[in-house]
Amino acid sequence: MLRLTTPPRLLAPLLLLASAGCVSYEVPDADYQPYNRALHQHIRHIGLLSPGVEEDLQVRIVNPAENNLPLLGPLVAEGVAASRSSRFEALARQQGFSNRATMTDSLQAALEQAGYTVSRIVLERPDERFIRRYADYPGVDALLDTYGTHAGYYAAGSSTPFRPTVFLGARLVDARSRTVLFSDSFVYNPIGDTGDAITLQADKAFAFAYYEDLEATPDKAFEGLRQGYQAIANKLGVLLR
Amino acid sequence: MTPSRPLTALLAVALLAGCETLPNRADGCLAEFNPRGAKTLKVSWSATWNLRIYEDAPCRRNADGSESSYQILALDEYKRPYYVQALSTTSRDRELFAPVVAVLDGNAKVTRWIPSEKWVYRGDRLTASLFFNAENAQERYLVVMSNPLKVGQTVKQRLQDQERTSLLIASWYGGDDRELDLKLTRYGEVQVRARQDPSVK
Repeated sequence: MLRLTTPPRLLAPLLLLASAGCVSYEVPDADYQPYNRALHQHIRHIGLLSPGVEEDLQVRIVNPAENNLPLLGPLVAEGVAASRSSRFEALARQQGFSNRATMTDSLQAALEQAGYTVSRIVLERPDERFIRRYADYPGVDALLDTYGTHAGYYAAGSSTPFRPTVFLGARLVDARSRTVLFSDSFVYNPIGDTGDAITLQADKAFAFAYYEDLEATPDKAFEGLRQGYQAIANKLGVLLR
Repeated sequence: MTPSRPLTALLAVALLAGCETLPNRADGCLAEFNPRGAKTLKVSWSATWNLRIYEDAPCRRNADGSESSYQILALDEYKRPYYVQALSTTSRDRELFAPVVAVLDGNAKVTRWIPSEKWVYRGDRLTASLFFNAENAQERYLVVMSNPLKVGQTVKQRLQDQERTSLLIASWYGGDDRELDLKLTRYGEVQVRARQDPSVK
């Protein structure tokens, strides 16, 4: 957005209003806690809770050129992003791509690769964050609770490519004592400050210069997202070994 | 006023206590780790060691003839499970210390190390953790050393951020997207911290 070096006081509230359309870029808030597998060898059977992700897919430019135009610029940028995201979601439905299913499949495969038995636990989540109170799930030793804050294609600016982007928070909880055994955040395709999250670089093969390229090659576009989920799940599996 | 001799000696001892040096390169590049003078890595909720591994750091000659620079810390007396986290940080010159973290027994022999796949990037920091449980109570030292297999290699990191271009009376904001080569080096700095395992009540 255009920022005057010394903005007149009258403009400040208007600029604030205009910036209300800016993207909030939220990294999952999972405190760092590594997993002490040697101490928790009784954890063999993990209940994979339905992940806290929506089916929404976003196609966004984090710093769009339009934001430099005062007042209407951010609103225009938000409109463009909303329109693209909506079209991309429609494309996902056509292609049979499900955010939640892709994430669940990737996590299950990675946990099994790490030597665990996995049972899926389907539940209605109260919100997108970690569950506050876990129910009893007999038969499993621990629960893997995950939630996402961003999924889709993000570009750093208007002249930089769109890349597959996934933000995920993950927590492993002892099914009996409810003690947190592991907690961390993962970002695939980091843009800007991602705090203490584990960062994974997006595959170069899935960089799209223009939004229209995403629409023109949907197979490739959704394969890029699948790879993002797999990369995060694989890293999570390694850290739980 | 001139201090008395006993008082001078006491002051000198007190000053030296704060300046204890870690083993240094003067001992030459040896086949064994030298834990002499190693300071203790206390398990604490807040303390962090900043290990500086530069030309004056001790050197180890590895079995294949390569050399590693290292720093060594004595482990705290084992009381309950804890973990050690190591963070290798990128310098302004885009150089990143290529770390290996190993654990030694009382005879300065390696008992285990952090496997390479456990290291992760958190932005431009390379980090990993290692747990100490009751079965590791006999371990005595932690070594942070350069990885001769990685030194000299480069790691590509894409930097995507907000870019600000200053104009006459205003600034233009856009997106920055550059690929940087981080050079893995023998010398650099590593933060080390020891924390109690929060999963043990």
